[in-house]
Amino acid sequence: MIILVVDTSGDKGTIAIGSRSRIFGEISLDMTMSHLPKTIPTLDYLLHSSGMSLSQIDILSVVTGPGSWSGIRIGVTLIKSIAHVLNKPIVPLCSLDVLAFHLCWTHMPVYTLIDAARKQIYYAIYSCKQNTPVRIHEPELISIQNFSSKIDCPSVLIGNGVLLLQKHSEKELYNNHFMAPYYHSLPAMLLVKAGFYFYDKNFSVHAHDLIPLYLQQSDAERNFDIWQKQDLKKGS
Amino acid sequence: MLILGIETACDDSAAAIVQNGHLILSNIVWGQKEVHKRFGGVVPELAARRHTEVITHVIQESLDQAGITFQDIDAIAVNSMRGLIRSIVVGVSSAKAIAYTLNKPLIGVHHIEGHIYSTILQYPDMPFPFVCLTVSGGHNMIILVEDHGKYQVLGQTHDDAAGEAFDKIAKLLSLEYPGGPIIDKIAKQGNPKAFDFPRPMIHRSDYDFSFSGLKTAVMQTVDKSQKQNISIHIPDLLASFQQAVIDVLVSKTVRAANDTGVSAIAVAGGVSANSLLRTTFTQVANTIQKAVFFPDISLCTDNGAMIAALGYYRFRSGFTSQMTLDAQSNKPLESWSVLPS
Repeated sequence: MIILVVDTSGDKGTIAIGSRSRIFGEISLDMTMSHLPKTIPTLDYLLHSSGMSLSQIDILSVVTGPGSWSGIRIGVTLIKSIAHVLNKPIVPLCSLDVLAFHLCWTHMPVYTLIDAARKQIYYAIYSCKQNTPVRIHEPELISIQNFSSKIDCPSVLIGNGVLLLQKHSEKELYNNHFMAPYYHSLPAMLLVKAGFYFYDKNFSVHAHDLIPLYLQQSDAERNFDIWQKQDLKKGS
Repeated sequence: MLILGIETACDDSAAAIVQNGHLILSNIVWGQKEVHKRFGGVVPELAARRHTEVITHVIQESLDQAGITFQDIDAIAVNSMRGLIRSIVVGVSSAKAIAYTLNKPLIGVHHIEGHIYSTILQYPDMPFPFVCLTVSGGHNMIILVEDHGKYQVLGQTHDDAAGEAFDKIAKLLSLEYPGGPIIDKIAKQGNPKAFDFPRPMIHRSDYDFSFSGLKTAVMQTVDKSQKQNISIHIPDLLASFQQAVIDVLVSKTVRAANDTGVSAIAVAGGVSANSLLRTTFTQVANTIQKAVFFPDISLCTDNGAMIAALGYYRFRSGFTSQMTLDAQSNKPLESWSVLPS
């Protein structure tokens, strides 16, 4: 069984093709503001150079978020359109979940953190005591300021959100917890592993049902809510 | 030749199957009015989110209604050159993935050129050259169409497009979005001479437009009446505003047609669905003995059929896009080589 995984949720785009036992090929490259022109040519190069064709792919998988909104939409739309034409299942991957696969066999709670801009982070908490991570806190958006209240025992922190914490939060947080080496992208090996893991758990969806995971309102919605609250206050 | 046309320039997710550039087998548009209603205008981020959710549904419906499968498609055309960037990205991603997977040609085209082709799609024997007014919420141009793919932009708006002015006035009066259809309806009950609104740039010798000042004049009228506690007859206000817009659009387009000596005028884009605009153009064109062409109402607003039709002529001229095709929000309208004879 062969899986094709695409991650365009960050500046670094990754495409990987693999089976349960090996990676046939992987390409990671900087796709800052260029996910759209680069993804298909990169996929084409990868297929050609690994001597494969789309028809050999059994499962398609894509990181649906959280991360760069436009980047995610490009990856999601590309994969759902390919799956639509080929009538293949898609395994949606959460970027925070994939990060947790880095730290399997860790006995402390694992926090995966992704920069969400405006001094906020996306985070989720996992128990990684065995071969695969188990979510113990659902993905959420939080301000850096409020993050320290979410950690109550020594933990391991991973993801580019760690850099943000370094900049903005108090030293105490740093002294009591372990910061895993900074990984700026989701490596092909983990994407493929996570893809098969969630496929086996029957998490795959039809092309029509694949949607991005945003965790954050658009500016217009946020402003509209603020404006409505102010309006309610005025009225009361 | 069957072309799948995909259009996601703004808040309509659209896909269509068109045969040989003129026979529409399906033309599916999923609007997003409900998503944007409470904001009184299109929210780009929400439009893009919605496009992503529905794009495969819209494409599937276009195939089903045409009674074909992906394998029957000969090429995929998509608007990649004009509109809200986040929205276009979704259409282009989808078109590229389909073209790549099917190993079929990809044809990136220009949204405004698509509107010109909504007329050619319906009247394939339209005589060249003609003058085309494209008018919607996002663009407002007068273009001399000399032949397939041969254009001279004669004029465009300096600020708001006419459709944008309709939307903003509707928002001001808490009418529904989009403003065009509702203003068209209410204005029918009003007196177009009740308010003497300016006809911006109507006497200038060029073919450019400006509707921002007119919009401000309407807003000031409303503001003043509210401050002085005088009630305004809304149908009169809207009829007068609409008349001012139409006077400018018609006068400039007709002058362009006269100056260039063409025998036909085409009017395309969302605002070309306006009933008074159609009547006025038809009357005026009749008196100056020029033919006037309007696309069917279903082809006025954004749709995939016009993109597929344009894609057909682009493909016949030998053009295809690379898989590196990117989305652009405001590419200038450019001519391309004419059809081989």
